[in-house]
Amino acid sequence: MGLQTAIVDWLDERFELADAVDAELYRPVPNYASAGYRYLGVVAVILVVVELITGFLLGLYYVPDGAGNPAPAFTSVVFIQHTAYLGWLIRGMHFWGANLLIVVALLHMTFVFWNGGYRAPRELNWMVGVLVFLVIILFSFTGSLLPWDANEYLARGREMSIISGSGVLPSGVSEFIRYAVQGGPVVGPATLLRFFMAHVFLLPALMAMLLYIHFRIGRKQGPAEPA
Amino acid sequence: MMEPEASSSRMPITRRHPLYPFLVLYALVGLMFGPIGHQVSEDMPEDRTHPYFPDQVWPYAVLAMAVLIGLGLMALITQPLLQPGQPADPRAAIIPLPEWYFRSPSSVPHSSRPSSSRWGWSSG
Repeated sequence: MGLQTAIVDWLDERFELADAVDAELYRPVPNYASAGYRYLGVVAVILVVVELITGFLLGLYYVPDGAGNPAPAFTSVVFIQHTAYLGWLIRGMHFWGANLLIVVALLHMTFVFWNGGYRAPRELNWMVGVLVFLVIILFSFTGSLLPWDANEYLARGREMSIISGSGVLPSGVSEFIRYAVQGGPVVGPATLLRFFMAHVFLLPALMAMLLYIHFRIGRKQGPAEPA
Repeated sequence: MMEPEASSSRMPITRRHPLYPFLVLYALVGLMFGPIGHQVSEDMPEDRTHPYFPDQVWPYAVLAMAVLIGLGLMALITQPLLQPGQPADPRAAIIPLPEWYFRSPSSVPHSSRPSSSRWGWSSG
């Protein structure tokens, strides 16, 4: 206890820590912010944290290599599922957390919309929230290829065909999009590596930045009054 | 916005100055990371607000526990469903092409009509 007090005092002398903590803990919150549906955003954040932790643990064993048959990516997932200690639990939580996150984020958006949270002066935060949702969808899209099994592989191949606008856009544009996203004419090891890097580095960084802005604006403006 | 005084030694950068958009970006960094400033809820009467701690915070712990237990149970129940299936084999993949009726007439020479083995709405 003495050490804790000493550390807090040391920080307080330099950064006015105690005042900052008091201001954060005892700030006034509107009574209508306690309604049950207002906590959907918190549930979404909890799920994001769960995804982050379980994703890190999966990353300790996952090998993003799609070359060969069976590829190391597939065998590493089999290892996680069957051999790694509680690997099945971590993988299951990551899988279901991702699915639940989409549902909870959609419900959160629905209630925010219902309360007029998209109107001025909160329209910017609404747009940031929509971007967060798009990032969640991209997380789901990139993550679902990583197990490198036949079902997901064929499903992502079909989606890639849709994304590239094959048959709708001019063939040059369609081919460019396809090569940019999947790194070759077919979904292959290069695609797996691109999706892995996006899933593990690019999207988390984007998500952290967008969530910071989302919370920051949300704190400043407070929750929208009930409709 | 405060206009700098004429006698001031500061550069008179106003909203019309060409450098202003860059300064806005610079100021945004300060706005995003600086103190949060005045909050809307501070203007509300006290009887319409409650303190963040503990009134607003305690459900967070309950929700976190519920989410963790729920996800753990779902992972346990659906364990057989999450078994990896057959491994993917890109060497067996065929480059998908749209069906002939989605393509322009000039790009459908007689020999390039996709066969039924290609992905898509195959007519067999």
